[in-house]
Amino acid sequence: MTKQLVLLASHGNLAAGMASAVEVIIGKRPQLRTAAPYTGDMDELATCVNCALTEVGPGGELIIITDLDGGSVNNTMLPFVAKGNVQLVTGMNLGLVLEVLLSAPTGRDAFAITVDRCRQGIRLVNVPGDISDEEF
Amino acid sequence: MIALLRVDHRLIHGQVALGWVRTLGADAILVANDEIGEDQLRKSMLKMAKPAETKLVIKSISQAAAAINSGKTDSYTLLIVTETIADAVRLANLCPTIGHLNLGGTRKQADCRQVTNTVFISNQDIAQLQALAARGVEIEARTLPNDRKVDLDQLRRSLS
Repeated sequence: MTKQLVLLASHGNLAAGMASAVEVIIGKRPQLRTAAPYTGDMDELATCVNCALTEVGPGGELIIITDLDGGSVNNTMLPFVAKGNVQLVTGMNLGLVLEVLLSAPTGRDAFAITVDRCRQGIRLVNVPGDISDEEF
Repeated sequence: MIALLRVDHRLIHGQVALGWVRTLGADAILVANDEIGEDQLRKSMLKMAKPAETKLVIKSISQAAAAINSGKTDSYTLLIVTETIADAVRLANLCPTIGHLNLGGTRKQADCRQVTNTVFISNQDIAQLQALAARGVEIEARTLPNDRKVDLDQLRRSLS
């Protein structure tokens, strides 16, 4: 099994809060890491990523999930994508983090499918949906 | 096959929808409950809570038993959820193929004592569960799949 770490990185306490929400739903997951809250120090963030990369090792995979497209956190992570064993996704939400931890997609294609599927979890609910009952 | 019969007063919610369905590899959830049938609001809330690729069927306890006993559910990896221990016991007594009962969460009621952080149980519940255990049904309490199982003996000892 490929060693995989999932690193959450965000402004403020979003990442830490996200980890606490994950724990409520599926319990503690040893492969989940959170970077310290980003408050302007890009070097500190980069150090965190390098630690995680050392931990997964050359044969492992690091999945980085950041909060905001175009934000400083995600921008700091961009150079790491050049290392072949890093998947970077932005737009962190609970559904995505849970799915990544539970299904552990490896490789870019599997990851892209996971992200597409999770995107559908962001939806307007107060729209009358299909009200028919299912049967066996 | 029946993957699990779970007692959870919240029926389908995050832990069930994600943690349990995934761990069990369940492709269908059967909610066995006599009250929900005509309650459209509750039914639609359940439908919203279920994971997308999982079938959700809601039936009264006797209809659920009929479906299970007829073999209609055999081709699914089925997670059955009931709201109360009494409902689960009733269903298990109607269906000999139910071999495992998980206590996930029950409401606190007057004659109940707390035995785990999510399970409240009465002496009557224990008596009914013991009868089930006597014919080989595994009874355990766990909130999440990775939690340690608390077996019936331990639950009974917590009550005395």
